[in-house]
Order: sequence, then C-alpha cells, then structure tokens
Amino acid sequence: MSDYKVIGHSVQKLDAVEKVLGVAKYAADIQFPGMIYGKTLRSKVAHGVLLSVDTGKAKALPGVVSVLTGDDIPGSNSSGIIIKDEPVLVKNGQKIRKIGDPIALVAAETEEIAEQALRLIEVKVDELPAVFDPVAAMKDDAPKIYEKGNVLAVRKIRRGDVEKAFAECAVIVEQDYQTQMAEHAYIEPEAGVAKLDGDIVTVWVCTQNPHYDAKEIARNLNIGLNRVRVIQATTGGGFGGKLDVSVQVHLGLLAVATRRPVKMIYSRHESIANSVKRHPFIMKLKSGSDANGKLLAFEASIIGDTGAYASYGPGTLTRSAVHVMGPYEVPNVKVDAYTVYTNNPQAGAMRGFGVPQVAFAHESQMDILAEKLGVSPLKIRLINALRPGSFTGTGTELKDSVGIVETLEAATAGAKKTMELNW
Amino acid sequence: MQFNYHSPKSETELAALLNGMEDYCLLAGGTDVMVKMKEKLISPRNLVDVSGIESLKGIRETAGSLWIGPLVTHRELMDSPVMNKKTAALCLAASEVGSPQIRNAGTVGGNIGNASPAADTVPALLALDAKVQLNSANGSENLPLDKVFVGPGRTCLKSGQYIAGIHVSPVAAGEGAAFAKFGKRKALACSIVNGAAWVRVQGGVITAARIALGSVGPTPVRLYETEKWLVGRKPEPAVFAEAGLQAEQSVRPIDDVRCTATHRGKLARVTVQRCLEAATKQAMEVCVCE
Amino acid sequence: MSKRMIKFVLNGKPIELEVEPELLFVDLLRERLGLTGTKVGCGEGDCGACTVLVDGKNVNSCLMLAVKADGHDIVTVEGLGDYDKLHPLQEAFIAEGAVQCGFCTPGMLLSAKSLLDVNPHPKREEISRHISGNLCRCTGYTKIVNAIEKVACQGGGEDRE
Repeated sequence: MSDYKVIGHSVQKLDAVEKVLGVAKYAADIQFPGMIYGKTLRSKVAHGVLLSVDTGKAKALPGVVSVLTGDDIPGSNSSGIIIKDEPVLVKNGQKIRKIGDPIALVAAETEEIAEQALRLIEVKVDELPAVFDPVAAMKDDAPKIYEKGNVLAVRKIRRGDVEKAFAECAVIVEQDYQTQMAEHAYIEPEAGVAKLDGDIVTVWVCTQNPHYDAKEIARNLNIGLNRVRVIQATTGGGFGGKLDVSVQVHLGLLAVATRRPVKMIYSRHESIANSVKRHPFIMKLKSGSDANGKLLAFEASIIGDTGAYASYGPGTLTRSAVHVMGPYEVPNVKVDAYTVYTNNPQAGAMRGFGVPQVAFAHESQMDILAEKLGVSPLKIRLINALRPGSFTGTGTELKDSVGIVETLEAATAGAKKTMELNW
Repeated sequence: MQFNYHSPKSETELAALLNGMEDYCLLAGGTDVMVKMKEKLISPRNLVDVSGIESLKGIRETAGSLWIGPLVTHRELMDSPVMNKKTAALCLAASEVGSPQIRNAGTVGGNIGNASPAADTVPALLALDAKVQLNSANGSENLPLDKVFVGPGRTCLKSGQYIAGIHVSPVAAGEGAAFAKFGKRKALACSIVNGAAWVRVQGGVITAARIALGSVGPTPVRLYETEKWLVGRKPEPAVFAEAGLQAEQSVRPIDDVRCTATHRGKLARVTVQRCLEAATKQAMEVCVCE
Repeated sequence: MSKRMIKFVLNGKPIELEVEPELLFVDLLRERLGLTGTKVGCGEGDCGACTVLVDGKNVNSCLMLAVKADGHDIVTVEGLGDYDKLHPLQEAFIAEGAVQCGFCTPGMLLSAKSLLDVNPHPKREEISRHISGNLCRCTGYTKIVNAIEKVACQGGGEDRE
C-alpha cells in the first residue's frame, strides 16, 4: 500500500451514498411548480432546404404554451464546439443537413400535449440529393452539403522522405481498414430543466461541458454570459457524448419565451437518433521495415465521416493523424487525415477521440509485419516501441517516461504465469 | 396512450365483454403490448386486462397431457418442477425470453398472442405438439399451435376469442426434446434464429420427430418434410447434418437489422442439427436408464 | 377516461389512490409520489433502470400500468435503506466501486435484492444472469457482480436487523 492518502487506495466516490439511496438528482428528477414540457420537431429528410413552417394549428391546441421556430431566436442561431455550423433551429430558406435537424420547439402543459402539437406543425421542404458515404462526398460531383465543399479539414504530417525510405524497405505492408459509427448509449437520455430568476436563465442539465453550454445559450439568446447559469445535474454517463449541446439552448429559448420552468427529456429513440457518434473511419496504411523489423517508413490516409456538422471532427482527425503510426518510432512519416461532411448523424467526441479507430489499424499492421518477417508479434513491437529518447511521428522527443516497453514486459510475464497455471 | 380499461375477473365476464366489442387488445404481462402502445404501433380503443382471471393461471398435469394456463409467466414456467421434469426444453426456451424482468411479467399466452416470428417459447411448444384452446362467448375450439399463426403479429383468433389454455405432450421414456437459440447477445436478445426438436427413438431408429424453427419466416414453422424423412433413420451425425441441410434449404428468411437471410439459413441448419442431436441423446439416455 | 381506485403496499406502507388507467407505474412513482430514485433509461423494458420489485420479483415499471399495482407489495430503491442505515447491498456497491454514474444503480440494487431474497448464496454466473436485464454503461459489470457476491458471501443480506 502506498504512503499517500488517496493514491494507491480505493476512495469512496463522493456522491455514492446519494446514488445508492436513489436521492441523487438527475436532470429528469428536478421538478418546479408550474413546470411545462418542451419537445422538438425534427427533420424527416436528410438534405434539403426548409421552405416553410406553419405553426398555426399547433399554437391553437389547448395546453400549448409556446411554439418557436428559427425566426424566434434573438441570437446567432448556431452552435458547435469547434465550428458554429449547427443551427439551433433551421430557419426558412436555410439548409437541413441530416435527419433529425431541429425545426421547431413546442412547450406545453404536458408531454402528451407537446407531442400532439408537434404533429400539427406543417413543414415544407425542398428535398435535395443526400450523400452518406464520405468517399463519395469528397468527389467533385457530390451533392454539396456546404457551399465551401464537403471536406471540412485536412491534417497533414510530413517527416523525413517517405518515398526514399519505402524504396529501402525489405518488407512493406499495405492494407485498407474501416471502422463503424458507434453510439455512446449512456444509460441516462439527455434531459434538462430551465427556469428564469428575474432576468437570469438557470439551466440544470446532464452535461460534460457546462461552461461551453453557458456560452452557447448566451450567444443564441443574445444575452450576457452573466445572465446564464448552467448547473450540471448528476449526469448518467457521457463518454464524450454529452460534450455537445442537446437540450440546453432549446430550454433557454423556451424558458425566456414562456417565463415558466421548462423541462425536456429525450426518449431513447430521440437520444440515439440525434446525439453525436464515434467517427467511422476509412483508412489506408502502409508500413515498411528493414529485414530486422525496424520500421523505416509509414504512410496513411484517413477519412473520418463527421456527418452533417463538425462537432469535434477536426480535433478528432488531428488526434488520429498524430497517433496513426502507433506507439512506435518511425523516422519517415506521411499522413493525410480528412474530416468530411456527409448527411449522416454528426460524429463527435467518444472515448479515445479518434485513437481507437487507428489503433485497430496500426496494431493489425504490426501483426501482419511480424508474420511476414517470421518474428513474434511481441518482438516486432519491442523492436519499434517508443522509449525515452525516441522521437514520435510528429517529431517530438520523448525525454522522460514512456511506459510501453515496461507494459509489454509486464504483460508478457503475466501471460507466462497464466500459461504455467493452465498447462 | 388513451383507451378504455377493462379488467374482467372471470372467463365468463371476459367472454361476455369481448362479445361484439370492437377495437380491443388483450393485456397480460404487457411486455409486448405496452411497448407497441408506447411506440404508437397499436392504439386500441379498449384495453382488456386479463391478468386478474384466476382460471387462466397455473400449470396442471392431466392424463397424458400438461395444461399450461396462458397467464403462466416465463419465470413460472422455467421454475416449474413438473415442467422441468416433463418438458425441460420448454423451460429452457422460457428461460431464454428477454430478461429476468421480462420473464417475471411476460406470459406464455402473451408470447403466442403477440405472434412474433421470433417468440422463444413457440418453437419449443410446437415441438411438444402444443394445442391451443380458444374460447369465446360462442364456444370453444382446439387448434394445433402452428395453425394459430397467420403472419408476423397476426393470429387466426376471431373477434371475441381468447387463449384459454395450452396443452403440451410430456416427453416420455424413449423420447427427447431440445431447444436452441441464437441471439446477438446472451440476454435481452431477440432471436436471430431459434428452434426446437422432439424425437422418439425405438430399437435404435427414429420412429417419430417434430422440428420447429422461429425467426426464419413470417411465422414460426414446423418442418414436416424433414420430420417425415427422419422416420426410420438412425440417430447419427450424418442424419442430423442432412436434416439441418434440408432445414436450410426449406426456410425463406429475410435480411434485417439483426442478421442476413443467408446467415439465418446457416443458423437454421445448425439449430436443427444441434437440437436433433440433443433430443436423440436424451431419448436414448432415458431408454438406457429405464 | 374514468379513474380507478388502487390499493397497494409501497416500501412497507399501505397506499390508496386514484389513477388514470393510462398512467404508467413509473410515472406514478416519479411524477405523483415524487419517488425519483426509479429511473427511465429506455422506456421499452430493455435497460432495467426502472426496475422495481412487485411481490419480491424484479419487473420493469416502465411497462407496467399503475392500475396493475393494485393488491401488490412493491419495493423501490427508496425502500431499501436510508442515510442512517444502508442496506448491505448499498454498502457493498459503495465499497466495491460498483457505482459510477449511478443511473443504473437503483434498478441494479433491486434486481440484486430479488435474487438474494430467494437465493442467498448464488454463484457468480447466477448473479450475472439475474442482472442481465439491467444495463450498466460505465462499469463493465465486474464490480457490480463483485459487490453482490460480497453480500452473498456475508449471508445474503436477508437479515438486515
């Protein structure tokens, strides 16, 4: 046991008692007198131009307190962690870029009435051809999701002379890899409550990003940040998926419009259909080594489908570019990583942030290389693993601790022990 | 959700209530009906909760037959000592339905009435030659279970009829039954393919067989042709393999989110092969013991 | 829709109230009785966050009409323990690190209780199988199973007093 109070010890989780007693307050558990319920009308088409939204019948429904469209947003009508490309509510004449894009908000006395009101809103859309494959989206003749084109960002790494180095390699492994979109599926669907205190908007919400949320609310409500309070309710899992805004700005708009406490809870269906995803990747990797297995050259192209909106896309693809050669030393590197828009659900942050996708690819490369060279998968890794003094693929010198060799050795010892026990 | 809620306390009351009633849905454990209502796939004007009717509950052993009340939950079925002794394959099937929570609420009658092609208890019931008693104010009829299903989510039940009981044949000496299921996960998984088989082995040859598969077509199916083909053959690996092949060739599954049609066909083959193997093994063990 | 009078026992106390037939039991608990320890994760009986005990058996309260509670004995997480006296399962969940985001915890505790009440010393596989209707997205389940196993080894948690 360690000499520290915390390090090396199991520490009781701060709010564990409240959680086992069932008294911890998650956003959906928060109630206020006179509270109303908000619901979102969402696009049923993946790509189009919004022509009109008729809210007349919905507003006339008894029990409906407020119906808002893009025209009712006093501020910028945009959100996004890196690029503000996502509309809070698509306005007439503006683009719809995915199934689920928000078009109108309803607040009503009950959830049932709010849902009924959504069905009474009439929407006209001029549907456009959509593109769901990032490779197709990169072509010149692809439907343009954005005026400036579908390639949002390109991240390039150039180190040494890859062409010359590959010519000197004894073994080269060239392989395509593909990974799928993944949903975080945190057990608590998105939920929040907003309430006005004088001219201050307070939002209790399940989130991983309360400061960002507050800024997005302020920008869209066109009020100072001093008038927005975001309180993170006990949050039922996030895994990166609750870094983006879900109900936050919508709640703020409805609270201001109705001057009543408003609650929004997503159904599981709404949560899965509209939350961010792990980026699906299409990758091509080329690794070359000398006859002893020492890596000499590495080349990769990565296409990450970020869906209809950027979210953390450019950041994710930057991480992927930096890590795609794996924890191995390669003197000559060439990487091109593309963040591409499609009409798919937007991809954002999810555990590992672009690295799990490339890890699958670079580890497969190492196994194939080992097989070709006739050495063990362990040996090929030990030959190439980063050590103190190594340079990474982007040229950073690792001066202090690098744990991979130690980890591999410990894992090997553990495996040997298990083998002895089982044989 | 909006509906008129009815909770008859006896079968007489139920039959009278359903007689002439329009737009109704029967509610037992609610594990399917509630989901369908919440998803607005159905919105019946009348919801008839049968769960308070005592005569539709319980398991009874009668001469040469076992009577299962339609309100018997999957949990009760899998825990029933008599059923485990006489129809272990059905208990296994019941234990594979949904999750513990679903098994505590969901009922056998509901599993039949919901008519999902993937229902887990159904292939086992079919292999055990289940007969379903359908009652109404106008009388009673007994139907073999496979005549009950007419399509996905659709049964032959006429307006006013309800499932009053299910009869299955106990597995006797020299007989064996088995159930197998493939799902995407070990729990809470809708079957990709499920199936069951029952065989009688006498003098070293199969003298009778029943095979049923689920999730390979619009309704659960019996493989009558293969059953006939098996009669007179030795219970040996080559025979099971050929029966599996016949199953793969005869079923017409679909592609869906859970599985491709081609893979379903292959799973049908493996399911039949494994069930026959296990069922004959049981049949012959009993022979030896007794 | 005409309301119905229902009577049931909730966490040891008799309750009598009028409900609309379409009211879900989970909504009765959360909205009307203010017992928000019971969670809604999927609303379709897949995740088990809404698990309550009906006559000792774990069921999904999101698929249960409130009228169906009539005549039954129901336990929610609020009936397990309190600040002064945690249930052994609650203590074990804390000690073993089985609680992370906590959203699955109430349902998980109740499923565990429903197992230990009838089978005080289950095998590890039996524990896993019995909590298979309760999804946890944080822990990977190992620590939850450890916590339940700990109580099972101590005597099943049936004797609180």
